[in-house]
Amino acid sequence: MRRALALLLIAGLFAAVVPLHRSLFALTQTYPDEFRSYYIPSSGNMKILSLGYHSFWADLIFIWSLLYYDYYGREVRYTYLERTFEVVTDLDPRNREAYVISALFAFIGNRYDLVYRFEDKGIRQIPDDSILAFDAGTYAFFSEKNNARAVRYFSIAAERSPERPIFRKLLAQALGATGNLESAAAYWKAIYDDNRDLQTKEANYYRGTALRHLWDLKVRMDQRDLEAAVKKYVERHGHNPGALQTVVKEGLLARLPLDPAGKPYAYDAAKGAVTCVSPFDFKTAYGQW
Amino acid sequence: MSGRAGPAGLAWMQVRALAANTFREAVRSRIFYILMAFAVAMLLFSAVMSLLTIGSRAKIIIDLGLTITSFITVMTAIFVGIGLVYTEVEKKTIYNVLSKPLGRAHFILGRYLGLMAVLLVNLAAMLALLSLLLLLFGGFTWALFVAGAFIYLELAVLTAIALFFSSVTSPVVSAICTLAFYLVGHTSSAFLESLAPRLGSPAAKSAAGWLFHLLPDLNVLNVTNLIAYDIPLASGFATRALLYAAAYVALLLTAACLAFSRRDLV
Amino acid sequence: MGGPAIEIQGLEKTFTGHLSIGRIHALRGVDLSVPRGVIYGFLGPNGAGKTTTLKVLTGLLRPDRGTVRLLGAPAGKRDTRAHIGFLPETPYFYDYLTGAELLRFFGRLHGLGARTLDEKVPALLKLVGLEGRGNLPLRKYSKGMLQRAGLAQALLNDPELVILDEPMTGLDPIGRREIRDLILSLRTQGKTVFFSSHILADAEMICDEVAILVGGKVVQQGSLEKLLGSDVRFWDVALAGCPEETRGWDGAELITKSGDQMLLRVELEGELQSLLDRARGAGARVVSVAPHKASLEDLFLSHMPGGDA
Repeated sequence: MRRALALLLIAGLFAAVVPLHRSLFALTQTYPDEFRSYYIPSSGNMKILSLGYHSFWADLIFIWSLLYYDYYGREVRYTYLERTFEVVTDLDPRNREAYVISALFAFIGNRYDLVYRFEDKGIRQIPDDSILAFDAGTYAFFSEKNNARAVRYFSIAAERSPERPIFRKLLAQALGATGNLESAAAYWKAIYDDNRDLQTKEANYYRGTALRHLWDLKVRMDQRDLEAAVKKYVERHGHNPGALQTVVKEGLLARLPLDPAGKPYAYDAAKGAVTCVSPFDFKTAYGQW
Repeated sequence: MSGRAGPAGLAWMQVRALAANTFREAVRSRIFYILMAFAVAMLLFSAVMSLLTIGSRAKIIIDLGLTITSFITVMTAIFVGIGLVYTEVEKKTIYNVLSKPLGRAHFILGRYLGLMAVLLVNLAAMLALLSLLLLLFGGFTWALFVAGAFIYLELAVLTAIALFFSSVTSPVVSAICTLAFYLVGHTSSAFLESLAPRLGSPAAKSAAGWLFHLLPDLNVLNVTNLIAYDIPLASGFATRALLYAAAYVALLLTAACLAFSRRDLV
Repeated sequence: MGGPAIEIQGLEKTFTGHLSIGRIHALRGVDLSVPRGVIYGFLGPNGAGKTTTLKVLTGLLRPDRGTVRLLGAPAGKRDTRAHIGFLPETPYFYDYLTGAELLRFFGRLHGLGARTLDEKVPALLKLVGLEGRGNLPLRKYSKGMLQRAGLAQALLNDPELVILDEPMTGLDPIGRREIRDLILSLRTQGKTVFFSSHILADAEMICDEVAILVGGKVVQQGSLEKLLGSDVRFWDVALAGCPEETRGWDGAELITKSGDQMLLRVELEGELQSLLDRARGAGARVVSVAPHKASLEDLFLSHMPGGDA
C-alpha cells in the first residue's frame, strides 16, 4: 500500500514539473535579448578547456552558432558573431565552412569589415585554398562593387587554382572594371587560347565569353586612346578636332585604330566622343583572335 | 606430471590465463555493457548532430565520433583499471592466485594485458560503428583506424597509470589521481604555451620545461584533429609515439610491480 | 627435498597499524615441525595467529624474523609453491566463473596443459562431491559447495603438502564427514595435511599430531597420543534403582541425583570396581560406565586464561 502511494507521489511530482518548467522557460524567453548572455570562453582558454580535442569543440560551437544565427527574431545576435567565429576558427583553423559562414552572417548584418576580416583569416590559415578568395572576391565585385578589392581577391584565387578558368574569368572582368584594360585583355586571350581547341560545352562558353570581352576591351582601349588624344588636342588648340585624322596628323597618335570589324570609329566632333558602329559579330571576332 | 611447460613457457601461460580471466570478468560484468550501450548512443547522436551542419557531414561525424570513442574508452580504462589490483585484494580472491607458483609481477602483467584486450574489443566495436556511419553518409577513410591506433596508445598509458594506483591505494584515491593525470596529460602543452611567457626567472622557465617533458603528454598522441583533414602524419611520428608510450607503460608497470611485491596481504 | 614437511623456527611477525599507530605482535616466535605423511592439526583460539602463520607458509606474508621451510625448501619461493596446495579461510572466488572454469584457471596457473585439465577437472569435481555442478556459476554455490571447490583447487597440482585454513567451516555434519574422509584418504596417498581449526572434535578424530597456538606462540605440540595419553582420566557411572537413603559412595564423587538415579564419578580403576561391587550389592542397577580420556578440549582450555589448569 505504502509503495503504491510512493509511486503515485513520484508520478504526480513529475506531472507537476512539466508545466512548471514550461512557464519558467516561457518567462525567460520574454527577456530582451541583450540581457541574455552567453559565456563563450576566449580562444586561449578554450584551447585549454577542450583538453586537446579542438575539432570536437570547434564543431559543437559551430553547430550551436548555426542554430543561434538562424533565428531571425534575434535583434542583437551580431554581438557574439565575432567572438564565436574567432573561437571556432582558432580551434579549427582549417575549417573552411566556418570562414564562409561567418562571412555570410557578417554580410547579412551589413558588416563588410567583418566579412573581409574573416575571409582574410581563412585565406591566411589555409594556404592552398582558393574558394575563400573567390568568395571574398564575389562579395567585393558583385555586392560592395569595390573593383580594386575584387581584383586582389580574384588574383589570389586564380594563383592558387590556375586550373579553374572561372577564377581567371572573374579576375579578367574585375580588371576590366578597374580600367586595367590591357591586363584584362591578356587574361581573356589566355582563357580563349586555353579553350580554343576543346569541344566541351564549358569550353564553348568560355570561348564565346572571351571573344565578347576581347571585342569589348579592344573597343574600350581604342576609345580610351582616341579620347586621350582628343583631349590633348583640346589642350593644345582649345577646341575639339574636326576629324579623328587630325590627331594623327598632329602626331598625338601613331595611327588610327579600326574597330574589331575593321571599320573606322565614329566621331562626334561636337562632343568629342568616340563610338563604335559595328555590333559584335562572332565570326569576325573569331577571325580576329 | 604430463603437460607441463618449461619455465618461460610457464610464465607466459600464467600471464595469458590471468589476462583471459580478466577479460572474462569484464565481459561478464554489467558495467561493460552499460558503457558500450552508452557509446553506441553517443555515436548515433553524432550522426544526428551532423545533420545540423553546413558543409561536410563526414567531418562532424569523424570529429565527434573519434572524440566520443576516445573519451568512453578512456573512462573504461580508468574506472576498470583502478580496481584491477585493489578489488582482488579487497575481495580476498587474490589469496588463491598468489598461493600458486607465480610471481607477483606476472599477476600485474596479466591483469594489465587482460584490460588492454577488453579495451581493444571496445575500440574495435566503436570504430566499426563509426565506419558504418561513414559508409552510410559518405566520407569513410582508412585514416580512422590510424586515429584508433593512437587512441589505443593513449589507453595503454592511462591503463598503466590506473593499474599503478590500484596497487597502492583505494579506488577513490586512484580515480582522483588517474583523472588528474588525464587532465594534466591533455592540457600541459596548452598551459605551457600560455604560462611560459608569464614566468619571471629563466630558472622557473626551465623548470616548467622539464616538468612538461617529464609528465605524460597525452595530447601528443591525439591525432583526431589531423585525421579529419587527411593531413599525413610526419614521418617517424608513429614510431616515436609508439616508443614514448611503451617507455611510459614499462615505467609504470615496473613501479606497480615494485610497489606490489613488498606488500603484505593481510 | 628432504626433511620435515614443514619446519618453522623462531617465526615473528608484527603488523603496524594505520599511520604507525598501534602495533600488533601477531607471531612472537613460533617453532613448529611437521613430519611427512601425517595429518597435523594447527589449533588455537581466534586471533592466535593461525591464519597469519598459514599466510607466511604460502608466501602471502613475509616474516619479520625466523626461517620457514616447506618440504626442505624456503617458503615464499615460487618453486616451493608448486608442490603445495592451499585452501584459504572462507574461500573467495570469482563469482562470474563456473566451478569448472575456476579449476581450469588455477590449473593453468600451475602450468597444466589443456588435455591434462580435461581429465583432472571432472575427476577432482567428482572427488569433492561436486560432480555435475561444474557448470554452475560460483555465485550460485552454497557455502559448503564453495568449500569443496576450494579443496578441489588445492589438489590440482597433486601436491605433497596440503595446507587448509579452517576446512570444516560452514559445512553440515555430512559435509564435515566427507571432508574428514577426504583428508584421511589424502594421508593414505602419502600426502601431508596441515590444517588449522578451532573445531576440536574434528581435529581429535583425524589428527596424528597437533600444535596449539596461543597469543602468537606454540604452547604445546606433539602427537595426540603423547599429549592426551591413553590413560583414562575418570569414569562416569550411571546407576538406577538406588536405595533412597543412599547419599553417596566412598571414593566416588556424586555428580547428580534424582529419584533413584545417580551419576557418580570415580578416578581410579580400583575405585571403579569397588563402586560397582558395592552398588550391585546394594541392589542398584548399573546403567552405564563411561570412561573419559583426556580430551583435546581439556588440553586446549588448560592453556586458556581462566580455564582450569
